[in-house]
Amino acid sequence: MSKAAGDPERAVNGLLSVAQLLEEPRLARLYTFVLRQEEVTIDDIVDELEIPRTTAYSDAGSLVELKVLTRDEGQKTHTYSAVPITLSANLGGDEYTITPTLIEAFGRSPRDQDLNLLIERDGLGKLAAALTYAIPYANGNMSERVAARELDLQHAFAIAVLQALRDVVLDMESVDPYFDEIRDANENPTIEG
Amino acid sequence: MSEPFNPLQNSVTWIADTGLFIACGRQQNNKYTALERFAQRNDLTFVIPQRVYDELGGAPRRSTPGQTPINSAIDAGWVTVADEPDGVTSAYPRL
Repeated sequence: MSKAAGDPERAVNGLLSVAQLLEEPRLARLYTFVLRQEEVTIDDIVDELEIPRTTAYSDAGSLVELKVLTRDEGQKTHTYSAVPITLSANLGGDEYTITPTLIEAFGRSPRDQDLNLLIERDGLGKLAAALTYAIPYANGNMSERVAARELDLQHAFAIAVLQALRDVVLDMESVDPYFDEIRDANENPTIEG
Repeated sequence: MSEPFNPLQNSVTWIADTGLFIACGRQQNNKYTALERFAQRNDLTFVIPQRVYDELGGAPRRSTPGQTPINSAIDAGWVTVADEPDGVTSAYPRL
């Protein structure tokens, strides 16, 4: 795959890869796990994520095909590393930049009842919108009540979502190389108050 | 010289917001029992405004706040719902 700037083939293939990561939380979780560790073996994946070896092989293989992981076959034990992703979507002026932080939030959803319910009821777009409020909330720049009110969800549920996403933000701030590209609702409100 | 502030003295009222119960109740945290123990050991009652009670009670059933056993906490006596202040239509200014 060419790395030339402005390569339309790479852009569209990248879009489809991210879309697939955001379809399957298991793949999303594996991707951000590898990103955090920098270099891992299948044994590391099996141990840390507690998934069957066959699943680890097959999922890691899928992510290599999607070009979001690379496999180093230079040694006897193959190692995997993650390609950091940033994808900006602009739909008629509505913009959002997807980075590993959103992928991590999605990957946590099967094990977090509040994130799971949010995605089930309101979709992934709402998760992305909530993340823009979770950033100033996690960093102490927006109060819990103000951030929750802006989300336009039942109030207590909005607080639960923000608390879940605060953990994601605090974990990913130092791991996600494109963290600063995520929209911060304090700077660019996305939802009318 | 004034006495150092002691949060456990009788004249102190502990007012709790919705977020406290959610933070303690999240699966990843599960400190709800610890919160109850803290209240009971120190013989204190968390006072919650009616609005907080309504927010917890109105949350989706499959969410953390929807599963907060606030009514059992009230029955057990470590949480109580505050009376509305007299002569005030809304106890809370909009933030």
